[in-house]
Amino acid sequence: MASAIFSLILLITAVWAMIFVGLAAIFLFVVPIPDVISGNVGIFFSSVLQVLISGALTMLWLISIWQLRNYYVRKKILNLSNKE
Amino acid sequence: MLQMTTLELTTAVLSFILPFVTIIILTPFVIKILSNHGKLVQDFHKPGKPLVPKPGGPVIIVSLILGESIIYFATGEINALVLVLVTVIAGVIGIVDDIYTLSGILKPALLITASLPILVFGAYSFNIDFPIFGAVRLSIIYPLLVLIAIPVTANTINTIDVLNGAVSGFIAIASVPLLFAFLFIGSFNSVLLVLPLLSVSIGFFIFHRFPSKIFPGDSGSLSLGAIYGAIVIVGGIEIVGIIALLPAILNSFFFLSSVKRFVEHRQIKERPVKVLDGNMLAASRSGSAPITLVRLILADRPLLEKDIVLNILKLVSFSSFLAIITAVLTWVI
Repeated sequence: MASAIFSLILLITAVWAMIFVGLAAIFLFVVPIPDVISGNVGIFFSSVLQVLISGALTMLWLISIWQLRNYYVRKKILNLSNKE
Repeated sequence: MLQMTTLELTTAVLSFILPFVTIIILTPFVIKILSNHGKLVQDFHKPGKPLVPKPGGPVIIVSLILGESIIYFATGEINALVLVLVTVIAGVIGIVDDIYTLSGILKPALLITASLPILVFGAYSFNIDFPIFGAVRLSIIYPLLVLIAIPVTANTINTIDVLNGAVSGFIAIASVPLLFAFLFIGSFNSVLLVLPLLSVSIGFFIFHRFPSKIFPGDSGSLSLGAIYGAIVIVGGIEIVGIIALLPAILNSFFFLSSVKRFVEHRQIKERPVKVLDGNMLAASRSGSAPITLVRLILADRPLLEKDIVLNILKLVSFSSFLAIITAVLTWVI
């Protein structure tokens, strides 16, 4: 029974680890983005930019999970279907 | 070190014991009432499709409200009142769904109203605590995230309610890292908020486990998911909550990304799992069947229903362990 969920435990671990990778990218590169224009307009502009980049990284995270799922399904489910 | 007064300790004991006793006493009555009124549904994953009473959700809702009310009246903790309101709204939507079957779009849309008590009472912080890196203030986006958080968690938990004992066991285990997170933060009032959820899910699991004597229905799973999401938000432990729920989140994500639309599960034509002879369940090998966690668990070989549920509970135990590690990285180290 252990083998049935081992791959899924690996998948959950990968998703968890990717949260930390994404957070590292956001905190090290996105949060320190400086205000290119001074004043409230600059703060607004850099805030919007930070949100957009963070959103793009989140999308990248979701796409990675989707690709992992596709790999798992191809290898474990559809592959067996072809053999049957 | 967490300091407790006698009142807090008494509240903790009562908010755990009373909802548990309530669900243990009321559920057999509800099973009898539902059976007498013909409120029975087929258990699709068993040979012969036996009839099981549904919904047990009202018992779950009453027990959760009782537990959180005890906390509110004993401590004056406003977050407990917020949780009562969230549970009532999500529970009512769930009961309506149990009776009339809401569409895949209408249900999450209505559940947005369950987020309103959190916003109205301002029971959230704009700062999200992240592990290792610290906190970030999300002044504009966070209230919008709160608005969709309850529909998302409620529906996520709803989608894991597929086999006997899965949702009640799942929530019972996923509640444990919330307790750890609040202990690490040193917020005893927040620890109290989790106790009714833990006791109710354990209590209902006794009747819901394989072979189920009652199903929670959407009223049960939506109220459990909604209060879970609300506890995570009002307690400010969003990341821990997300990680504890990872198996259910992945299940929802896999399902939505394979069917590519919001759809009520009863409308799915091709089932992801098929019942074999001898109580075994097997994954559908069809390329067009939805991808679900259960289908992935069955990818290697057919299993008995109770073994699949055991695997789901093992997965949530593992994600809860990762959530506790995350809590340590956030508030201890």
